Order: sequence, then C-alpha cells, then structure tokens
Amino acid sequence: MSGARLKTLHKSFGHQEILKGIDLTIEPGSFTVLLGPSGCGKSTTLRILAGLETQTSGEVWIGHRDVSALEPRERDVAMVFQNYALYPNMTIARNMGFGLKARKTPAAEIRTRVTEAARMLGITELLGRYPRQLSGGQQQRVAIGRAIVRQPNLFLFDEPLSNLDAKLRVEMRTELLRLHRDLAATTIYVTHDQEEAMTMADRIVVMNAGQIEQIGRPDEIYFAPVSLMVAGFVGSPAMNLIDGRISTGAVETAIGRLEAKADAPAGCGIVLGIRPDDLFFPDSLEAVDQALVLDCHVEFIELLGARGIVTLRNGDTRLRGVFEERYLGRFAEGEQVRLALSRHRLHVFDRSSGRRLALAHAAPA
Amino acid sequence: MHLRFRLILPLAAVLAAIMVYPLAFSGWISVHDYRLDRIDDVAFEGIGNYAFILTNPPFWNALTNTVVFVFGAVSIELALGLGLALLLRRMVHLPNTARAILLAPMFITPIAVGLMFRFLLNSEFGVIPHYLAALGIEVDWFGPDLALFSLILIDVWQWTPFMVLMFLAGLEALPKAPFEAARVDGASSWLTFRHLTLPMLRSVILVALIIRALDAFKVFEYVYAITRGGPGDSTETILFYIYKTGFRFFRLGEAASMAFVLVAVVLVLVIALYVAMRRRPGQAP
Ligand SMILES: Nc1ncnc2c1ncn2[C@@H]1O[C@H](COP(=O)(O)OP(=O)(O)OP(=O)(O)O)[C@@H](O)[C@H]1O
Ligand SMILES: [Mg+2]
Repeated sequence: MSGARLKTLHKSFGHQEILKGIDLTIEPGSFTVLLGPSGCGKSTTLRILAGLETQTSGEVWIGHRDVSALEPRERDVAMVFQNYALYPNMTIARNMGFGLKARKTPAAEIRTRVTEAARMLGITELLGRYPRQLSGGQQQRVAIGRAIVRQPNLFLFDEPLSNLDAKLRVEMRTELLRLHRDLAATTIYVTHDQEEAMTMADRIVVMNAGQIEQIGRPDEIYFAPVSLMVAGFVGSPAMNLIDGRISTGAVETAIGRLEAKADAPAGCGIVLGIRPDDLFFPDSLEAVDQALVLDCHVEFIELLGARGIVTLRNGDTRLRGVFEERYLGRFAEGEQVRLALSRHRLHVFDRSSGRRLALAHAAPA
Repeated sequence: MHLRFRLILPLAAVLAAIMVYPLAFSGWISVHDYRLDRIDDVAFEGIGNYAFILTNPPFWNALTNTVVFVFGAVSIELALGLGLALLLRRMVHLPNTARAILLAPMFITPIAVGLMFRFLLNSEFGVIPHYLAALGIEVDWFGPDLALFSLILIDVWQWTPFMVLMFLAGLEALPKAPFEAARVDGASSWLTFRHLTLPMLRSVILVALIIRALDAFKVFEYVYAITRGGPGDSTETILFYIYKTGFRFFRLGEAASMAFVLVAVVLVLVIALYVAMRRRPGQAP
C-alpha cells in the first residue's frame, strides 16, 4: 500500500488549459474523493494518475517513485472506469484474471485469486458468463473485481456508480466502503455526486475549473467551506446565498443587520450563506446564540418523508429551509412564521474573490 | 390474377431473363455434348461431362493451382492488411495522404494491373529484374517455378488495400475503453492484440476473407494478360481453363460442367466461413 502525490500538475488539450496546477498528497490507505462539477477536470486528473494521459507539466508520484514518464503498466494502479470497460470477448473469469495474466502470474494462482474476489463480491455464479449477459450492477461488480484481484498500489474509481439506479447505488456505496476497509488500499474516487462524496470519503478534494478549491474532511467541507463555490456546490438543497455589505462593526444584508465584525474593510461586498438545515424556531435556540430573527412568509412546503423543504420569503429574499417532520406542523402555506439564525452557523464570503471571511460576533448585550 | 402477383411480374420476368434462363441453359449444356463448332449435332451426355472432367488431370491441375492461388494470396493479404491497418492507425504525420496512396492500386482495373506487371517483371526488359540484377539477384519471375507465386504477389499488390480499408474501418469502430483498461491492466501490445483486438475484429476479418476469397477464385485477368496459363500449365487457373475449353476449343458442355463444379466448391467454402462467423463468443460453440 502506498500513497500518491501530484506536484503542480498542468494539462492542456490544444490551447485549452484543463488542469491549472494541481497539488495533492494522498495518504497511504486513505479514501480520497475528487468532487466537482462536470468538466472541472476530475477524470483528467485520474487518467494522468493512471498514465492514460500525459501531463503537460508537473510530476506524478506513486509511493516513493516518480512515475511521471512511466507507462500505465509500470505504475501498478487499478482503475474502475465509469462505463466499466470490460473486455467484451472474454468471460467474467478471464476479464478478472487478465491483469494477472499480463503479469505472468501462474494459472493456478489466477484461479484462486479470481475465485476469492468473486466470492467477496458475490459474483461467483457469473464467472462463466460474458459481460453482455450481465446487468449494469453486475458489470459494476466485475469491474471492481478486476481491480481488486490485482492488489495494486492504488485504486482509481471514475464515477463507478453513476450508471446505477438510486437503490443499487446506495448498496454499492456500502459495499465499496466495506471492501476498502477489508483491503485497506489507497483509493481515489471521482464523483460529481456530493452525497456520495460526503458519505464515503476520509477526505474530499473539491475541484473547480481545473483547480483545487478545498481539501478537507467531509465535515470541514460542509461546515466550513472556504469559498463561495464550495459552499454552493456542497449540500442539498443548496445553501441560501444572500447579498450584503460590510459596514462599521456590522454586516448589512437584505434580511437584516448582523452585529458582527468581518475581517474586511467597510463597504466590501459580501455574500451571506445559510444552510437550509440552519433555520431554527426561536424557542429551540438559546437567546445568546441567536444572531438574527426573521419574520418570513411561507410560500410552500414540499414533504420528503421524515423531512420537508419549506420555501420562505423575507422581504424580497427567498430562503429554503429543511425541517424535521415534527416542526412541519408549525408551517402553513400563506402564513407568517418567525425563525432565527444561529451565530455559529453563518458563512460570510467576500463577493468579489469568493473567499470565506472570518466573523467575530459582538458580545451579547 | 391477384394484383400483388401482377406487381412483381416485371421483376420476376427480368430475373428470369438475366438469371434463371442463363443458369438453366448452362445447366442444360453441361449435360450435353455441346460444341460451338457442331451446334446442330448436340447429343445428351447425362453425367458424362462431369465424369470426364473429374477424371481429367488438367482440370485437377487447374483446380489445385486456383486453390494455391486463393490460399496464398488471401492469407498474405490478410496478414499484410492487418499489419498495415494497425500501423496506419498509429501514424501521426500525414495519415490521410498515406491512406489515399495506399488505396490507389484497388482502383486500377485488373487487366491493366496484369499488363503493367507483365512489363515491370519481364525478364528481359523489365524494370524490377533489371535492378535486382544490379544487386546480383537473377530471378525469372514468370519461369515455371515462380510464375504462380508472381501472380499471387500481383494479387497481393492490388488487393491488400481492400483488406486495409476493411480493417481500418473495423478498428475505428472498436470501443476505446477496453483498450485503456488493458493498458492499466498492464497488458503488452502483443497480449492486447492477441486477446482483444483480434477477437473483437473477428467478424470483420471473416467478412473480408469471404469477399476476397470469392474474388480470388475468379482470377482470370492476370493469367490472361501475362502467362496464358504457362509456362506449361503451371499457372492455369480454373476460370482460365474453363475459358480455354469453352471458347478456344469450343467444348461448351465440358466448360459448363466445370463451372458448376466450381460453384459447388465455392459454396462449400462460403458456408464454412459463414458458420465460423455465426459462432460468436458468448454462445454455445
Ligand atoms: N481528449 C480531450 N481532448 C480535448 N479536451 C478534452 C479531452 N478530454 C477532456 N477534455 C476536456 O477537459 C475538460 C475536463 O474533462 P474531464 O473529463 O476531466 O471532466 P470531469 O471533471 O471528469 O467531468 P465529468 O464529471 O462530466 O466526468 C472538459 O472541458 C473536456 O471537454
Ligand atoms: Mg469524468
């Protein structure tokens, strides 16, 4: 098991710069998720790690080796492709054993290892079939099986669950995590599904337009996004973003005045971010924690099961809140409701740079 | 008569005129002693013509020559075509120009190709033997030992481009992903070729083989333009022998029966290849 490192990695296709300096250290045994919007360069990063694509500049290290100029076969990584990329003319058993055969492993050992991996993935009875005789979920497992029989330095997954239905996707997530625990192999996992990222990762790397926006544990990404992009991208429903401005000793926004100091000069344009989970009833929040009290008009309520999304309006500002079922009874479409914001759950960003601003609340009166 | 039958009548008539009638007529000829120089004295022979040709050494010689020609030409074209197609795919500079040039021989009519090589390879004033002699290599391309082989080479020169074209199209149509997976899996180029490219190209290869083999069985122009079956009968192919028997010696009955034997041989070959093609991995063998 080994880690990996990307050093100021750049990649251009023609005149288009796709990766603009990626620096990333992957700890041995970790489960790292690359998360970002479509087209931000996640697959390209992964393909450069695998050696399928050559970087324009920068270095790729796997373990203690500089593999920047090496062919994929010399890097000893295994990759699970988004579209599975099984060998159509081989049985499942041969599909899984092909990487070992390529490394001149004795036939008997190939058989043992394929059987063992098939047992782990519950696909033993599929070994004699061909890829096209399998369902998407089964092909998925075969693709994973083909990766794990190799026992490589590094596992690379490129959106492996994106073609599965919602139920199977959740099942496979658990299964992948169990596999990761059992094999303790370093894994890099690409997705643009933030729920997948939050539930699976030790560490999330949020990418945007060829750059890394933030690296952190899932809770750090969620509770302390370093930029407007991360704040807006992570979380569902998306964070409420409200325009505002710094004044002396306070932050003025469309929904009210926050008695707090941000480390930016007066007059600086800001964006206030509030997660939908962070709207509270005043009686469920300690008075000292209340940063702002809002009188809102309830526009409509969408029930999701045990929770509901409530769309609210304060003045001209529309807010979305997520509430548990026991609170939903307090809302009625067309009525007024009073809500409060917690001072520990506010995010303020510089509007022009998108960077997070630290907030120091005034001592409660 | 019902309208739908009347509507297909013109087509049926055309088919009858250009296919059924000639076929039936040559069938009829093949069981008669039909000679162009004694056209009013035609006797029924039954299987006499067939019995004669099947015991006639020149017929077997022609058939053997043809099989050697087909087998030699098509297998060289297959190997060469596949190799060239793989190389062309990797070519970085001027790939389209190279493809266009490589395909050119296919667009020349075979009789012209025959004449061209007759002069190029002529042992007295041909360009190729001239330069070979300068290198100390003396070869009589149309001598008794080499003539059939030379005809094979000419066929290879003209028809390898067809194979290249087929295989290029086949290669372009292959999915990219399994090949990337194979690279990550660490497969060498040989292993990839052997276990991925070749099996996935299987049906294209078989179709190309069928088309080329059928065409090569009908080889006539090169023989006619260059060797006329000689020296001796070393390059006499089945079609040339049929032509000779029918139109030079006027023995049309015998020629027609040989044509039917050829059809039978070709049919067996086509069916064999077709069965091979139908057997795809994933189905019971
Ligand atoms: N071979 C290529 N030639 C030219 N441009 C490419 C090539 N491969 C990728 N790109 C471009 O690079 C950018 C990043 O592509 P990449 O596949 O890495 O995105 P991604 O983050 O994986 O997106 P998605 O979530 O949609 O898979 C895209 O704008 C894409 O158009
Ligand atoms: Mg991608």
